[in-house]
Amino acid sequence: MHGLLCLACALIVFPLFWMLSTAVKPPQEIFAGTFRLSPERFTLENFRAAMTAVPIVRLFVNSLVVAFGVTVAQAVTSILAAYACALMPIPGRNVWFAFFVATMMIPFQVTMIPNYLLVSKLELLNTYTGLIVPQAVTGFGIFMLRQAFRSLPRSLVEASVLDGANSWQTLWRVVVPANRTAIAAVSILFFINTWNQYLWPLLVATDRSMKTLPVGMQEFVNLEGGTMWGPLMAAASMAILPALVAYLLAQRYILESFVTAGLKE
Amino acid sequence: MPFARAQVARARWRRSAVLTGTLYLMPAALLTGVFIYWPLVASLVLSFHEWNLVSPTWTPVGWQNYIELFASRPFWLAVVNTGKAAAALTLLAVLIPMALAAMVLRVSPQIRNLYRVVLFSPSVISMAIACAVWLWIYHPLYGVLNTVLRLVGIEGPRWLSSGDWAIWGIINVTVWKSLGYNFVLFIAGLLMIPSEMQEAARVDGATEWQAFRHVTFPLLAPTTLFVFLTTFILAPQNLFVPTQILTHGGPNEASNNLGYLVYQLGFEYFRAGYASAAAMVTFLLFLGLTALQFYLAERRIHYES
Repeated sequence: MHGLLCLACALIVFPLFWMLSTAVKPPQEIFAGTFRLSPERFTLENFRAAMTAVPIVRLFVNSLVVAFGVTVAQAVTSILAAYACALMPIPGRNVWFAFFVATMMIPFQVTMIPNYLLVSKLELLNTYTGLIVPQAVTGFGIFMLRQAFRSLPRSLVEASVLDGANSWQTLWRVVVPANRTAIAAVSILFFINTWNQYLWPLLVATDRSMKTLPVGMQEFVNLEGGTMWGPLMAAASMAILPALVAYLLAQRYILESFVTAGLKE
Repeated sequence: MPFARAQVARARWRRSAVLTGTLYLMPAALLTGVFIYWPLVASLVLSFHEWNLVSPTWTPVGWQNYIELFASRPFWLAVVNTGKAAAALTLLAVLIPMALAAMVLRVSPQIRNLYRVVLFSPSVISMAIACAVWLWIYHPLYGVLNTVLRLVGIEGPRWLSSGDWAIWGIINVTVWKSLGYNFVLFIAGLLMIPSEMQEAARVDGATEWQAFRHVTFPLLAPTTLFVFLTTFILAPQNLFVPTQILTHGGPNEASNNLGYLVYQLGFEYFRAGYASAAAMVTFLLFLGLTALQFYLAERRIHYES
């Protein structure tokens, strides 16, 4: 049993290991056509080549700005809408909720062309606004937070109302603090999803200086004279390592948010 | 008079809540309208037009885009490939994680967590970057896959430029990426099943396999349904990135699929109307199939419980 499990782990991790191993090999070893797990001669040359070939720091900053912007925007719009749908006596709130949740059934490919058209008409191609704003809302986030807010004891909200607090104060002083775990969990998911996304930045960020990591990385592929495999693996390692380290440090928390996100649906 | 004061506070909250509550809905509602529902309608309208993404006018063409789509070879190849991928994914990325999860529950919790962390790791990294790595692994001459095969005397194919293998190269990467997430969901599902149930079965003389088949598996049905449905629904979307990076739908459309076709028609052939028709067909097809599966599965689960 351990044998099977270890085999599964080895197969899953191998691509990442091979990426690192290639990244520290000199070209003669990369193209030797023999199978060697570790380099015979260790080199950091590929990392230097990667840093000079693409503006990797700039890509990193772009990824960070977009992921952070989308996460904050999605969290705020989700909290507000989920609060209204879960706890406020507004007419037709179930219709509103359905309006948001139904968007989860619409694949991105269906809305992609008109959204691209809109963003390009507003001259927002190659801007952070164009990368962030069209993704500022998520039916999934509203769904998750409404579930969480509804399980809040009624007496808590009631007590705040009787204290004379208005709905805005009640939201930030009672509802949000009581649900901080759920909010943190969905925010982690928003961040990971945006950090890793490819299609929307591929369309919007055509300018080199505005690309995100996953998009900018592809510059190494299919260059004239062939793909630069060594530098590509070095760049991939640099792009993946921060995410992987963050994951290993916060693994318990990240795994939990993925699981609750999955099972509550 | 605390009671009267409470009444006043409640009435005040109720009166103001209608207005403020609607106000709180507005940011999400406006954004959803502008960036999801409007584009959905625009896509539908656009699918009855011919437009090259730059000309100032859309030319109305009636059902022409749909007629052309249903008569085109790439579309049917894309349908077949998406079907293959959805079938392979729902089989491999559901059964393997289920088996692994059932196994991992029998080891000690610390080691279990180690397996969990390792198997889940592909889920947190970017598919686009992972695909760059797989591109190198699949390299026909220097890629590690063919190097290892050569060691055991097999000359591997050109994985991504062979018409027979390209779609499987894509499916393999997608399975690799989604396996860990499903595995973690199965562990959570299995942990919710009371262990006395399995023990009772063992006391009654059931073998391990019988206990799993007749006790665990039926009780796990809601998790299985969830994992199955999400894997299926997301299949066309999850195929996009590996297709765009590994094969561009080639060679000669052999690895094209519905997730990639829309992008290809729109942003590589600049036929926005035609691409929108393909998007609408994909959307309705998967909506219909999902509803059907849901209906069938719900019935089955009700019968069993």
